[in-house]
Amino acid sequence: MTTPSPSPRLPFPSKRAQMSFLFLFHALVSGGFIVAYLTGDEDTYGMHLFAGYTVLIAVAVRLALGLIAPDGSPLRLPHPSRAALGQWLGWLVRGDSRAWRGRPAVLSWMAALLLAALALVTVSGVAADAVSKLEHLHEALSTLGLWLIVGHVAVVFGLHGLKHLQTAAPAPSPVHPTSTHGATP
Amino acid sequence: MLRRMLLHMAVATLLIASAAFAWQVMADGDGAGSTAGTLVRVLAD
Repeated sequence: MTTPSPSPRLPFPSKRAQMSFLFLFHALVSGGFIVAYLTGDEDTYGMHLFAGYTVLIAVAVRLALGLIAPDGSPLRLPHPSRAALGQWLGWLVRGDSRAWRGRPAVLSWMAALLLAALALVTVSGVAADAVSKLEHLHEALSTLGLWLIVGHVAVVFGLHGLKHLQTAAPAPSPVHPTSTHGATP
Repeated sequence: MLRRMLLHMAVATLLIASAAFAWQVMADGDGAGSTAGTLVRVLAD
C-alpha cells in the first residue's frame, strides 16, 4: 500500500537569507529614494533616472517575492489590521510596554503604506518620463512618499526610545518580607 | 539591529549616488571637463 506523497513545496531561501534580502531591500530603497529626491533637477536627470529605476526594481522584486513567499516568511506582504492598530494605540496611550515590544501593529501599516506609495511614485516617474504632463503628479506623489518616510523614521525612533527608556528605568523594588505586618519570622 | 540598518542605508546611499553620478557622466559624454561640471551641478543641487 502506498501513501500519497505530500504536495511538492517550492524551495525557498532560509530565514536568514530572507532577512538579509530585507536589509538589502531597505537599504536600496532608502538610498535610491534619497538620491532620486535630491536629483530631481533637469541638470541631474541622469542621476534621478538611475536612482529612480533602482527603487522601482527593488520594489518590484519585493512585491513579487511577497506574493510567492510561504506563510510565516518575513517576506510575506504586510496585512495591516485596523483592530490590531486600535489595540496598539490603546497600549501606547496607557503606557503598556506591549506597545513597543515585538513587532508593533503600526509598523505593518507603515510597511503597507510605504510599499504602495513607493510603487505609485516609481510608476508615475516612468509615466512622467514619457508624458511630461504627469510630472506634477509624480512630484506630488514623491512629496507624499517623503512625508510617509519621515513618519516611518519618527515612529521607528520613537518606539526605539520608548524601549530604551523602559530598560533604563529602575525596576520597582520588591516589598521587603520583614516589613510586612504580621509576618512570622 | 537599528544601528546595522542605518549603516546599510548610509552605505547604499553612497553607492547609489556614486553609481548614479557615473551614469550621469557617461550619459553626458562631453569629454574632458564634463566630470567636474557634473560634480559642481550635483553639489549645487
